[in-house]
Amino acid sequence: MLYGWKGKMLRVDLAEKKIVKESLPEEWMRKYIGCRGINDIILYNEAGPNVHAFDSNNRLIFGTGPLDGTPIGNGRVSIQTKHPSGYIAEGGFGGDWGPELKYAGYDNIVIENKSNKPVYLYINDDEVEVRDATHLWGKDVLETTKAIKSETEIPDIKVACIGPAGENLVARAKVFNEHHAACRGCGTIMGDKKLKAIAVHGTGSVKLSDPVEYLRVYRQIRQILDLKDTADYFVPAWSFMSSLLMLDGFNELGWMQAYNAQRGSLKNALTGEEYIEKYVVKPKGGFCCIFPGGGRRFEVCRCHGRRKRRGVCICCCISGTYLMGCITKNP
Amino acid sequence: MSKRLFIVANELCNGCRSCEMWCSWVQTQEFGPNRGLIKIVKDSEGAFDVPIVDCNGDCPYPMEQGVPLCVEMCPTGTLIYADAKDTYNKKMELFEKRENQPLFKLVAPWKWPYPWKKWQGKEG
Repeated sequence: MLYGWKGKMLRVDLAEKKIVKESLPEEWMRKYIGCRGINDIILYNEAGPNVHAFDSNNRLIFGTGPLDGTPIGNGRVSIQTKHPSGYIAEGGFGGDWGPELKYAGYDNIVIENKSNKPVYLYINDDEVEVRDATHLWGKDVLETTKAIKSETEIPDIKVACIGPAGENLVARAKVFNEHHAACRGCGTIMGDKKLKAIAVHGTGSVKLSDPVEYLRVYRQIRQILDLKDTADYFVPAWSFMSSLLMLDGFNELGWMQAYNAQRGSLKNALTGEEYIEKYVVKPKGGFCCIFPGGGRRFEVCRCHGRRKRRGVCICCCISGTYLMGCITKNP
Repeated sequence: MSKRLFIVANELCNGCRSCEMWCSWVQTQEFGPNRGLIKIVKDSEGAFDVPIVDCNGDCPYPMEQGVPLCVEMCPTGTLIYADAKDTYNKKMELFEKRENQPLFKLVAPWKWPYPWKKWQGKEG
């Protein structure tokens, strides 16, 4: 087997509650590299271009790449399916879920058919089960994550799930993994298949062909992006501000989504710096992200007092910035 | 006093798990959880990330830059390789600055320049 890969794919039939572990063809690994490439070929071969998003033949595919589970991979996961609008929906999130799937021993998960009642997929190394999720239906992302953690009694289990938007087939619903989100409507198809969540826990590891050379290359990448030495002015600015860096520009160009996307710009919109001063309480990092403040934790209760003692974490998500940017100086 | 691994403050940790992964690499030459001597405990709401360190500072991997790999790869400066006196000074420095400034501004001030607008790097 090739280094970096686990060489296994999980195929889950939600109608029959049948789980099959298949080996991933080596030709695919070499030809399509991984993640989006392999997801695409599975979607094309099995669903085809004419499948409708809500057909039971439509597939929902989660894929990782050969570098996932190692620091260079940054934990990126690609989710692919056919969207109700007719295009291939490709959402990607970072965080710990992708590496955990690799540590559990799988590169891809292919979801087939639809369940007749809400379910969630539980993966703990070799133990894979489709479990009832009726009690989780209607819960938001944080509540679902907490409930699954306490139910499975594994505190560091990683959960990718949908909230009420996905359950109600909102066209652009996201799939969330703690504070990371995969957009472009992948959550809609997850809701249609009545799959509330995929919880993964793994104890394995990712092996490297040449660990010492890997370290050398990783150091080289860090050196290029080193905040003290970089010649690129953008790098330190992005590492601190992330997508908030673009708030001022968005407002000027009319790209904000204020008042439920009825207005493109606001007179009193906060700038990125004011934002960080007022609302950001904690830096949050993606899996092995080399930027210290790429992600941020907002304290929502400080904004309008709607939710007490609960925070929202947003990584370098531009769509999140559109929305969070709509808070004005004088709410 | 001998140097070892210390945590400056748990609140500086952004939960990226670089230290955990590189420690597992040092111990086993593979990347995986529970293989190294560091573990990051996370809250699902993102309120806290706590590094749990079970290491006496004797890193088996040669320290090319004077610090172990976990400290070298930590982007926020949560982990330091120092003696007890230096650690005390660093903690006091952070404590004093923390009173006047939000945490976000204090993340790794010794690792990267804040505020970025005053950054004076080489041109090119």
